[in-house]
Amino acid sequence: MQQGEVLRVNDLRVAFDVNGSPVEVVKGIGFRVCSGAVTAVVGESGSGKSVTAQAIMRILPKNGVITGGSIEFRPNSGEIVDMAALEPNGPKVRSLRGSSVSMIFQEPMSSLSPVHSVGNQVEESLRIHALGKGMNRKQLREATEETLELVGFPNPHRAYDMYPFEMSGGLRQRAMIAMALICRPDLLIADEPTTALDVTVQAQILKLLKELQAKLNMAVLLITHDLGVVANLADEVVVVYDGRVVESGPVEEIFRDPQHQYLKALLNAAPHFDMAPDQRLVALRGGNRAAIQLQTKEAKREQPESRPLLTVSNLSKIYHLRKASFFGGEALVIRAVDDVSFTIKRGECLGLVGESGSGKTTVSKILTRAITADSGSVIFDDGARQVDVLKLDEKELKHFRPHLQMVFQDPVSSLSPRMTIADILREPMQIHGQGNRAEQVSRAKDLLTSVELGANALNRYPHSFSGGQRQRIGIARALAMNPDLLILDEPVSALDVSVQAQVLNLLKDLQKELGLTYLFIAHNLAVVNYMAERVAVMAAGRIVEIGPSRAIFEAPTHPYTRALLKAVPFADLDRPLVLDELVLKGSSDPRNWPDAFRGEMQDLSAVDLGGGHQVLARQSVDFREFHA
Amino acid sequence: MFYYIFRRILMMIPTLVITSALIFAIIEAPPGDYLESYIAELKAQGESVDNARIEYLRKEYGFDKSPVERYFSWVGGMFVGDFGYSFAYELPVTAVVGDRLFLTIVVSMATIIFTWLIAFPIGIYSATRQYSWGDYGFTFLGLLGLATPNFLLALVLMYLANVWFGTSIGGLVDPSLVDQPMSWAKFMSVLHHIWVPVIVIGTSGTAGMIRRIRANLLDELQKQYVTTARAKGLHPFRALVKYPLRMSLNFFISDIGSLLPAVISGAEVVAIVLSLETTGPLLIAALQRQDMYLAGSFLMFLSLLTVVGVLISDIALAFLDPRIRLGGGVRK
Repeated sequence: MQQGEVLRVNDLRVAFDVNGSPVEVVKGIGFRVCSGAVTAVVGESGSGKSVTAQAIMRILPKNGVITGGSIEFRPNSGEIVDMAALEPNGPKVRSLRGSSVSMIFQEPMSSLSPVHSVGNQVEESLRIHALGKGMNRKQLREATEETLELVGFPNPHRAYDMYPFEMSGGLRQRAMIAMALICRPDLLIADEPTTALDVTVQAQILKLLKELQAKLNMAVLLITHDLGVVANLADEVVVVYDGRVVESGPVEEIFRDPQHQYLKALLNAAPHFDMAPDQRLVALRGGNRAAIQLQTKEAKREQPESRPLLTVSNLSKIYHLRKASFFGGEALVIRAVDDVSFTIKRGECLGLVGESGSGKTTVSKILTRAITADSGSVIFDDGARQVDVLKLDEKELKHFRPHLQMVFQDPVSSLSPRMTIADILREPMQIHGQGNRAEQVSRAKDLLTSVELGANALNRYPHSFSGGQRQRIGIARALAMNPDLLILDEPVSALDVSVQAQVLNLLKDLQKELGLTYLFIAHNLAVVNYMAERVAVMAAGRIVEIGPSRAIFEAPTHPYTRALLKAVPFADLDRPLVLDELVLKGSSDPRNWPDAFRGEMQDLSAVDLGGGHQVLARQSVDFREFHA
Repeated sequence: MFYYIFRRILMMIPTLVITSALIFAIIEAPPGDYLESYIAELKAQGESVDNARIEYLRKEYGFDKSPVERYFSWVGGMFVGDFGYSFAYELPVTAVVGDRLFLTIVVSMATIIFTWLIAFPIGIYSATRQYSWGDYGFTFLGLLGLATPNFLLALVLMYLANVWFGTSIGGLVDPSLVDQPMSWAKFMSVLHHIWVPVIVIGTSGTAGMIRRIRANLLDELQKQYVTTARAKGLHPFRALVKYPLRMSLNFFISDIGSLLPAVISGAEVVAIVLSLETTGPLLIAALQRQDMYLAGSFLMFLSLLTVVGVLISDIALAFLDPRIRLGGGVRK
């Protein structure tokens, strides 16, 4: 171990016991983490990067064992320990865990116990380790509140007694960080610390991690799949693929002069804002798909240019919550969807962007009639006749459904594990009584071909497919009804970058070949930029800005859109995150917006900036000052 | 919180009213009434039937009134502690049930405690050492307990208790002490007798509970926050008790509501076999003889227990789980 190194992992091997036979998932990974520096381990899911982190902490699942290599760790006390040689739950390991080396996890909700207060959980590390020995309750609480303040809780005293479910995702992750830092560890392992967070919250947490790392002079091991996060945080990078290191070195070398094929492909596979309008993503896998013509029952009707396929007007959905108190209920009104209007033309892709809780999923659910809107109308115009989707009765709705289909976010839970692919694809045809068995099977085959899967997939079950393949099956199912409009609700956010590119390209091709219209819901702005011709930005239940992608991404006007764009980390060393005050204060909260963009809906209107670019603001606003 | 409890108590009223109507309707449903089965019994025994007396009884017990009127007088009486009159015992229902109720509660409580004491440690052991020999062993025993008919177990244990410890057959106290006031000797005698019914009644419940604790705990042990606790350096046992065990308690507490009536009503057959002086055999006899007020009041008592049990478990859940206590509508 060299001077300045806090952690050195040599030729680490970890195997999992699967039905009695060992399967090696980490096949000789080695790297170092230096004092006061960040080492990032990058790879896609299944590459073994999280298992490596768990092995260092010795918190591998029961069926996982370290089969070789060493994990040398030098805490501040100076004495080097080989973590790999210690007993997994023995006193030595336990005394290091949580005090000298601690860990932040991906899911801030499930990583915290829901029934213990935040203070209780944060304080616990202090109570069980040497640092907190001899402290009384008051001192413990003071130390805890001090750490909560350090990670940016505005009111640490109040936060101490709060429960995780009372906090937003960002605050929960801050609590998680406080928990890891309370004993001032020498090494912090952050396993996908921002993956589950919204992009503006991610920016806040990244900034916090960077500041804390400098302040406490910690060594940080960052596990992530997001090269944008790596470019903003890391000093050294280790790229792992299939349990092995394929490339490693200082962050400069990795980004400016990538050597390994895999790394180069990874850098090209993620969509970014500087792409030319017709530039295609380079998928790591697949991509040699021949254009096919799906058999359609009827030719798509001609649509007059002036009549959009879908016209959504003044959609509102209000939730009333009863606040429990001794004397009865006090109404709490949440405007999940607040006077939302937009149109989608035939053959177009409209991107709907917003953070969690902005109401974008509620809108999609209203369109599919899974939720009933309080007011507003959704006019669907297939060229021949117009129908108000919200006014259809049960029977009419069944007839209408084939026109509008959905692709869901989670490829695992959206396919029934008990049905074969053939059953899954035939189900919509059976519901609508289309064709006999042979015709349905032959259409299912065509559908599979159209999403680059072979006909041999028909008799298999979803579990034998990867995430990307399953998502393609989900797309094939949505196509089975030969729809006009597809609602794609975060279709790639559960997928790895390498797979994401393939699915996005597929969606683009299908749109062209079948003349489909998309409503593309996503939180990833680069993905929306790649897919959509027009973009609508949602915040607090309203569409705050809508317009052509180019206008939105090059001349964002609404403060929220601007904050959103600023918060995206680029996989580019020359464009580090520069966060303004609004992002740091919380840009999704209308209270932090300038006066010109705040108020009740009747005070605001969609101000036209030309070319279909509209922003929700007061009529009197002079926009020049916001572009400065 | 107070509002929540207040609202829950208010909710009990319509529940109990509907139950009482249902119970009354079900008891009324079979053709005939107590007097008719009484007459039939007399005739079967070859005795003469005094029509004047029957008429008198009919008036006295209100059988000449409509069912609706009788329902209201029955329900109305309950509010002032009058649960009606047992025809068979020729005593007010309260007098018939009273003594037995006490013993029933003693046996039930002992059974519940027995169940918990056995089920918890075994459930935790099985969950933390899943698929070990110990786990398989306890699973086997548990399934055996579930599958053995209670009356059979009762007979076997009664025989063994008599052979090994000389405990008298049947009853909850030694026959010589039956009508004596409570004394140390009587108390000890109850303790000597009580373990047989407790084990018999508790076995299947224990076996079921072990399985549920094991399953719930196994679910919780997979959760991410358990890993977080380990990553803090918490001792594995303390981490187990503080986090997953605490979480798995939810199911267990919501179980209390159904536990009380299940233990009390599930014990009837066993009580008959062991000739226990509890309420179970009384209910069965009352139903057979169409002794409607006795049976009806008893069923009402069971429903009240259920409703109160559910209330207790809901309140306990709200205390234990902040998500229920604080999440009640404040956040979306």
